[in-house]
Amino acid sequence: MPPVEYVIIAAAGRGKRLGRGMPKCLVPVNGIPVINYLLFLVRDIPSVRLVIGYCEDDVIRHVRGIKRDVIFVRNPNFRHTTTLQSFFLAGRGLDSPVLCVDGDMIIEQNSFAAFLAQCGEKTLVGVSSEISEDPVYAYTEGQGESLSVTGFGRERPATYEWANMALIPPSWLAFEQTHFYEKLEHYLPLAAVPIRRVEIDTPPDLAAANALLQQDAAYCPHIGALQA
Amino acid sequence: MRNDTFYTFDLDGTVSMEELLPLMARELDLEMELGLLTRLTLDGTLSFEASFRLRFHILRSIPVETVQRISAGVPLHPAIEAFITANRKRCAVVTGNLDVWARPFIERLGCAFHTSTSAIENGQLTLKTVLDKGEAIRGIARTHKRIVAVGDSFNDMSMFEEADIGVAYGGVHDPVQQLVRTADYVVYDGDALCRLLNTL
Repeated sequence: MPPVEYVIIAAAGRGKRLGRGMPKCLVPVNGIPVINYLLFLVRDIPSVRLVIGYCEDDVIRHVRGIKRDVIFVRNPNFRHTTTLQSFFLAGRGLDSPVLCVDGDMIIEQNSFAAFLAQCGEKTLVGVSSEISEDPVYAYTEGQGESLSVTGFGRERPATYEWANMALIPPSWLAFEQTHFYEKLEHYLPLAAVPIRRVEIDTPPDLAAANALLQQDAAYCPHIGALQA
Repeated sequence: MRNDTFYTFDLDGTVSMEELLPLMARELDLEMELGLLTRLTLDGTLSFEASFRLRFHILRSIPVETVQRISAGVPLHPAIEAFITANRKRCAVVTGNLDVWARPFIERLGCAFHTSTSAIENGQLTLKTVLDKGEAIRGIARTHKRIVAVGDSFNDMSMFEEADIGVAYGGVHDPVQQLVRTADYVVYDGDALCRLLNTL
């Protein structure tokens, strides 16, 4: 049995802050679209659901060329919905823990593998010690395998930030106009695993991600296998 | 899988991995002519009913036994066939195809079929009704609470409009864009389709 049966990747948004004409998940980083990195990481998870909205035809055309068995979940109202709502649309009907991942980041493959290795029946939250420009901090207790998140917030700086990734029961998902991490606040404390990742929200993020991937060949070394 | 869900499938290019009418056209060496009709139907120039009536009149000269021999040889997607046969009381095939032409599929799948209908009059095959897929779904909805529709073509639009959940499926060819625009899910792989259906 793989540690996780279902993964949902939210890729419906336009990526307004990045200011590109193309959906954020198709923006190339080090010459490869962002979504390729994620699809490579989840290649052994049996069921991959991708929430689409902005330029959905382009996203479908690209993704099915890489991984034909993706289930595309349409969110035509993507302009007015939150990432939590996209996850909810894709999580309907699932009955075992689902890994929810924001589709606008590149995750370092070893840390993702370490996260997956700790996935089981329990819930798990991804946190990152690489603090981004506009962070949602994750307040934590404990260390190593006993690391847990006890709160989220934007005000008080912390060692970790919320990494937009969590393994949760699908029943936690809701069609609510709130942030995903705000929904998780109802279930704290939650076990946490640090991951390394870069978010692609703004042009400086993109420049930083390009530089990082050019310098660090180990960040996602086998990505070439998934290039379309 | 919820026990109040009923699954409806288009036949050609959805459950079957080849479309029947082009295979029949090959029998008469009329593939190009039928292909033109199909294109005019897909782009909305011809209604499905008008197109099917034309295609029927072209193809009805083929003996029914020959058509049934052809349709018996059409491969079905193995995972979709397995899904339907395992849940045959909760599945129906909704196809504009003709009852007598689709008979081998009906026998093979063992689920309910909604088809266009025919009769033999004066020794000749006659078209009686062309199926309105939306009407078929409305009929199923009288006894089933929640309906999932799976299809790929323009004539599946009315099925999606009446169903609770629409799955555009591009197993053989891409689902038409108008259908994708009304779908809840879009899938290109038969095994992934069945994984999805098992969660609906």
